[in-house]
Amino acid sequence: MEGDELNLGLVGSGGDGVMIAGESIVSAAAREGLKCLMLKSFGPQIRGGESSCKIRISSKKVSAAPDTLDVLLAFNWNDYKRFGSELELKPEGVVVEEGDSESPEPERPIIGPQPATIYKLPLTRLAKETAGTPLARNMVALGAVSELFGLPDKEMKHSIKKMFSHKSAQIIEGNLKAYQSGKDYVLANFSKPEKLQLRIEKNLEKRLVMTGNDACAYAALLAGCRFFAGYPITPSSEIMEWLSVYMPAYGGTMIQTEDEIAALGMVLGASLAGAKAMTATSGPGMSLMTELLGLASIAEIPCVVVNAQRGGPSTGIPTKSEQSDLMQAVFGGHGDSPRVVIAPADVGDCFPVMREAFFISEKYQIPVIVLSDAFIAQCKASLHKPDLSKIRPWERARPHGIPVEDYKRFEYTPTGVSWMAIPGKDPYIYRAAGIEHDEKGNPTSEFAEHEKMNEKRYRKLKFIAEDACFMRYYGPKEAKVGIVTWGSCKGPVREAVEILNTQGLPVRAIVPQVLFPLNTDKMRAFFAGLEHLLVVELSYSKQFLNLLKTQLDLPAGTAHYGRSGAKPFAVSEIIEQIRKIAG
Amino acid sequence: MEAMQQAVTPPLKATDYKSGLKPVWCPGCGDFGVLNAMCQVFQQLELRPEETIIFSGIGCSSRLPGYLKSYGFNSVHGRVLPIAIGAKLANPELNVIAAGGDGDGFSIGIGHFPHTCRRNVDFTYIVMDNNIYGLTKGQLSPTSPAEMNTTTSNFGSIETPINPIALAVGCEATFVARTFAGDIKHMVNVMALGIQHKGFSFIQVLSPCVTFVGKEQFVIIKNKLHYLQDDPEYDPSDRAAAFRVVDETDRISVGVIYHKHKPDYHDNLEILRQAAAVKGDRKIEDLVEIFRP
Ligand SMILES: Cc1ncc(C[n+]2csc(CCOP(=O)(O)OP(=O)(O)O)c2C)c(N)n1
Ligand code: SF4
Ligand SMILES: [Mg+2]
Repeated sequence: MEGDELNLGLVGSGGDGVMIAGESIVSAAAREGLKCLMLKSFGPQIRGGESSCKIRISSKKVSAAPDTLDVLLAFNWNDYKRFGSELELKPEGVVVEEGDSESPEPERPIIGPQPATIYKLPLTRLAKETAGTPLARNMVALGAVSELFGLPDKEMKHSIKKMFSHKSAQIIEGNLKAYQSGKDYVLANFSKPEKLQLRIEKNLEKRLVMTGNDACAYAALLAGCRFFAGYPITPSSEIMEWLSVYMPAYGGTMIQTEDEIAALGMVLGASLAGAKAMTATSGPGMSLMTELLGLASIAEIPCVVVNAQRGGPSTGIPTKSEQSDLMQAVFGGHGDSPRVVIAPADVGDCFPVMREAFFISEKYQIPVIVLSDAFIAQCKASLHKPDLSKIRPWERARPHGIPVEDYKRFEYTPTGVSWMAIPGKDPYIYRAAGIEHDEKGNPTSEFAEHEKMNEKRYRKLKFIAEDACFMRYYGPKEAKVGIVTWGSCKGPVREAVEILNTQGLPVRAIVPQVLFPLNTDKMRAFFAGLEHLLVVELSYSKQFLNLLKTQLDLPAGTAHYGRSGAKPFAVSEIIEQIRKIAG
Repeated sequence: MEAMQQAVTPPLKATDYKSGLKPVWCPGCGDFGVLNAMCQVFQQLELRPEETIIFSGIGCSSRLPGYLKSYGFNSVHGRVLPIAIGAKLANPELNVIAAGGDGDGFSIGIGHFPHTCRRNVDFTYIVMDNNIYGLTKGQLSPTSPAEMNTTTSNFGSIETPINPIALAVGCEATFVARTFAGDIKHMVNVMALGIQHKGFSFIQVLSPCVTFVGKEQFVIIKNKLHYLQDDPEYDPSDRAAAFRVVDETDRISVGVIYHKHKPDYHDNLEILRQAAAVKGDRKIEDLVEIFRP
């Protein structure tokens, strides 16, 4: 690190308080106005098993998780083994661990570069002396880390107080003392590592802290969603947990269903009755919803489905990220069933993406899948307060001013969108069906009607591609090397692009967020003038590359870099791939 | 509902509740009786078509919404219950009715049934039980009696059938009734009680499939009927009595088998909303402050 940022890794067992320590750091950083991102990782044990987190803090931009660490705080070296490859040190990296000058050297199963310095602290002893319990080890360690690397002291104390605000004054006092003892021990025994001091710009605006799941849930509420039905699944459950508090608080309904089929079923029923409705799930649940998604498509019922992707297929890797549900999202299910697929690229992006999801689904009466992933869903990020004034409920078009007998629920129109009456609110009764139907909704099995209805339903996509296209662009327009990626891969790609441009290799990137229907004009415009193009994704079977090919011709010689998920791309990995194609 | 208030709303006749679409059912099918009974019930209870929605799954029986003049949704096989629940929760003012067949409700969709019973959402579920898969032309159904011959049980069924009434009573449904497609008056009475019941009401209609089971079913069932309303001893609030009914083999009891008063889902939801309201005492935009560390 060159002072601009600090990359920390914490590892320990259940009782070590790894997550509390990590979250205290993130909160303090956000209050100081720093950009910050925390990625959690757990072993297979439900509770009390090994856990680790990686934190990246900077006054400047932070878009990806840390590749390698400046500081590794190891509460327990045994636990490190599970995460080794996720917790590699930089060559200058240092270690903070339990121990003192007397204690024997522990075995350190460190993968990659060995630590430049090891700071040993009697965490347990200091915790007992100050807080009266070994449980406060994490606070002693926090004090030490804070003092050693220059974290904002006032905000650290504030975070600790807040973290324990539901506990007694005595416990808060004990934790603060433990924190202070860690600081004091460092002051008395070590000199601070000069190269590893976090540089903090003064007077930055305070930032918020949330995860992608928080952001999706809150944005849905802002977009007017008042009905949520869902079935718990990692890594999306927090969306329903959050909404179980705030949905009823604003007069809405959050219901936990017997399975994901029921979840989407209830959403469709609620939407038909006029509510803005959504569900959230992950791969296995998405598979169960497939048949009803087709129903939403043919009966033209607005709905939003968030899929926080995890490693697949089947149960796969529930806690880790992958981009392998893309083809399912776009093409999953029987029959020709149009839907829209949008992907957020980071935590803050969940706000505009959810707004867009409800806007498209309500305006075009079509199912919208929001393809988040475990990284975005679970990552705790500090963010600037989003512009909430832009998230306004969109009201679907309802019939009016025509005789009731003339109303055709599925009328052919230039945009493919027909007026949708709301039972109990409009006198325009109609019957919807999963069976193919004519404009009035009456069942039909005629070729001509079926063809016309397919054409009507697909016609919407043309308008959506223009109306709801949003893309992110990075790097200089004149660059001859281009990258296309999607979702959370935006983080490492964006950073790789920035680094390469400062190193004299002009590179630009495009991150389409409406993946289907893709705005192909914008994509082609981006391709113009490129000499090299690289498609980057976290999927073994090249789903994104294949999806792009179904929608447009890629330039000759387009290269691809993809691999399985379960480990986010390292910035260095992307840089290496770009250098490879750029020669 | 401005447009609706302006509209003149003369009282409707039972026949006004027919959509005019000609049913695809075989002549003599029990489902015709169910359709006629529903029209009469709607008329009797003065349900406004604009405020009423019928949901169904897939099957001959599930064609029902198409033939009624009200909002309707003929959805997919087995999923009618969650869809109906979603609609009722989104707009509790709606009259919600779900309908379907024995395969729809007790084979592919059975997973939703116990949960629907225990949630006690205020709507009525009418299962037209013909002991067979009609639409797909005569395969074994979960309510086909043991030893029944069908196109997929050519040597007689070797499975024990599901008893929908036992299931409903066992799953804490708050209104459980059985009626017969050959007795319109009885159907109308039972359906009216079911629709008026506050909470989930389940009605099994024995509705013979004349094509794949046989029209003699009408006679066989009729001869075994035992009308519970004529039995002064029978107390539908007695759960043990209800369980005795489900075990009968020599006769078929029809009428309200079990009935219990209990707060419905919406009552409980309102209480929950009151409790949650403290969390929502500010503008939604200001809620962002909870993310301040
Ligand atoms: C997922 C799925 N599986 C199978 C079918 C085929 N299918 C349509 S209706 C039906 C059974 C109908 O039986 P029932 O529900 O008793 O209705 P009935 O026709 O007897 O009134 C089946 C198996 C389907 N539509 N969807
Ligand atoms: S097949 Fe049976 S259930 Fe279907 S319409 Fe004909 S008689 Fe009725
Ligand atoms: Mg049947």
